[in-house]
Amino acid sequence: MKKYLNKKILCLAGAVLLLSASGAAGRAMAYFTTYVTASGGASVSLGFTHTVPQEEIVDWTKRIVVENQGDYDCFVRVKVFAGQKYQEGLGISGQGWTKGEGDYYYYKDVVPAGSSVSEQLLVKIDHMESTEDFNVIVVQECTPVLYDENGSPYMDWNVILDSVQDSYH
Amino acid sequence: MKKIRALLRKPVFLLAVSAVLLAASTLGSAQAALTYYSENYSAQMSVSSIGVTLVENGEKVSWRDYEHQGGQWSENSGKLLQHLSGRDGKKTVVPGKKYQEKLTVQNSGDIDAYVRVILYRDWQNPQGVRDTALSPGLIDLGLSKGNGWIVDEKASTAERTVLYYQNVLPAGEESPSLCDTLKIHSDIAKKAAETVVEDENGYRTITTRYVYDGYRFQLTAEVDAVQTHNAREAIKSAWGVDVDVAADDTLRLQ
Repeated sequence: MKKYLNKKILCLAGAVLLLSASGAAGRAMAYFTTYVTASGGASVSLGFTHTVPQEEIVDWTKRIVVENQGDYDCFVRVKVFAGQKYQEGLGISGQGWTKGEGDYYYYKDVVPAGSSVSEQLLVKIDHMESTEDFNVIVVQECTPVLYDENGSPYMDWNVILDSVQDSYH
Repeated sequence: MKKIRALLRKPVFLLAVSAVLLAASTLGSAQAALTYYSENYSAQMSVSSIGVTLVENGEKVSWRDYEHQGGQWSENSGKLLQHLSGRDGKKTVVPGKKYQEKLTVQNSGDIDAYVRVILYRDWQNPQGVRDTALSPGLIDLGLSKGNGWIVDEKASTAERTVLYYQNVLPAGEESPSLCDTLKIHSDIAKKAAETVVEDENGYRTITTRYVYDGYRFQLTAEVDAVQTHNAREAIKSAWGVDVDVAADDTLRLQ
């Protein structure tokens, strides 16, 4: 009987200690916390693009617009030349276009995928009262938009994605 | 001495000792509870709940706020990078180009809090399988410097960046941005593969393709907030890290 009583008391004492411990645990968990998460992703876009010159001739003036029909942004440049006799008579101008290396005319802005340059390149042709047929050839090229360490776009014409030649007869 | 040993063997004595211990622990709890409720008494009048919101480029993306009335959590889990555009409705990025990715944390609760953010970055191939061969370091987040956010270098890896906001974020306030830009490093475009196919006439077709075209990156942000009261213990308990809290309440990692 005494042995049974001892066990009972020991169990009670154990329970009391357990209760004390659980009380302390309860205090340890009483902190205000919260959390939140969000995620998202995107694909890397790498590839080539394709540009097409759109030309319109009005009153011996060729109006050139370059359209980016590909999936990637690019820079474009255009070169115009005719026979030796007529080359001197070509008057090339256009807002946003600047004559640069290799006698190309470089468009100042990035041409986004699916759009065209905003300003036309105008080529005024002097036919020199000639009765002969002659060609005015337009060469346009595009290069991918590259980004420097600061994320600013720049062009590198050592990398030409597409080149198209067109002529006016 | 014998008397003491005899006394120790008596269960009644043990029970008495236990009772005293229990009473003492209750007293401790009562004191803790007194402090606890004393602080929360004023909290219930004006400050009663904790909450945190992740903000991306000024837009609230995800939040989890405790609503004292009703005792429920008001929560929303949104998506990051939804502002990126791309072809065919897919979100795409061009390597080298910087995109705005301004991440901030708003304390949307009623009590001041310490906050931390864990950013995870990884790659998936076009089939959706995680690719550990491609470095997460190519996913360049322009982390802010000198505005209160510090990187826990010990806890950070190539895939994970752990940032702590050193200052207390007051209730209702928004932290400075922990990052401002996102850029996929242009080195990813340097790896190209060439395939040469020769037909029966001897003509060869050479096709060049970018190895990582179509690869998808994933960015995950996890924001944690904890109370400022008993900050050291609370942070240890909630986040498992040891910090020092300076006299001006700024955190320092140990």
